[in-house]
Amino acid sequence: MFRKGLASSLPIAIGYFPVAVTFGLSAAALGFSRVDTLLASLLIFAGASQFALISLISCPLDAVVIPVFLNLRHIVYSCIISQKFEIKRPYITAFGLTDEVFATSLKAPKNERFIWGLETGAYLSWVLGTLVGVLGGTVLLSEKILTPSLVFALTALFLVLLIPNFKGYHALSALIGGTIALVFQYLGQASTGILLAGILSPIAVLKLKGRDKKVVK
Amino acid sequence: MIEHDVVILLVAAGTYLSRYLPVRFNEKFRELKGFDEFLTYSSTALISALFVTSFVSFPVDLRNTGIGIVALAFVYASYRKWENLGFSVLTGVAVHLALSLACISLLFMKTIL
Repeated sequence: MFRKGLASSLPIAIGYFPVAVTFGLSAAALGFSRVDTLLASLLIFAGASQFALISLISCPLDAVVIPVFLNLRHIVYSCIISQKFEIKRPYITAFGLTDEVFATSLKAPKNERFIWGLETGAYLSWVLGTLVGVLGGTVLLSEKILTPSLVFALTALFLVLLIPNFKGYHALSALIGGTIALVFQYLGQASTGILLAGILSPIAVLKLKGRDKKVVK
Repeated sequence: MIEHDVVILLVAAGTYLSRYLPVRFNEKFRELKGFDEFLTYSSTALISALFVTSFVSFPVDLRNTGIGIVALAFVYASYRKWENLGFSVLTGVAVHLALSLACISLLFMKTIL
């Protein structure tokens, strides 16, 4: 199962690598040492938060509070994963529960080792990408055509995971969630949008579902 | 610098706890009535939100968005045909790259001519 998970992590790894290289380069440009940059990827393993951290480092309080706030959506992810899987070693499984790992896990075999495989592949790509960025990924990223195409792997992955949900109330939930995310993306608050989508969409769908049931009766 | 290290450690701890605590105390959540159904719809909404935020960026770049939409159409078609996650994603990346190269070539030709 671990190997299956590792193999399934390939689309995630492809998408992570160029982003991690960019992180390594940006951190170096903002005055982070190589050790600190690598330490961030090794210990945090959360893209948006790491970028927020390095850009806010001039105010240490903001550099701690905002990245942690950005990660509040992980609470919802962890709740869902713990309901769907029998988690025996939460201290291991929880570490690598990123957006992409979470989304892929939902359509995966119900086995904790599968998640570990997914997490390992994604983590190695993230750390390796950061290392390449830290050691001078300028040459690699100067290829302005290749990078957006590699990053596109993540969008493609989310679409593929979304396709089986295009039916019934799930389609409605996807529509509401997507709309909330779009509005907050426009306002420059993408993480808040994701968090609210995960909370408000099911509330709205369950209300509508309850109303529909009453009408049928 | 030590200040950087402290910030990194605090963010790492906060991130880990936000992932770990709900898994650790999942029994408490299981006792809540209707929570399963809530989470089912929540996961769909989250994937949709992740898709939207990864695809759309403001201000909208028409060329990149166009390339993205065509590539997503190929992802959708290949998944409907073969139902293979990895293959569909790689198809999308390949189409995206091919279209980007085509656009660059066209712009280059226009500049020369």
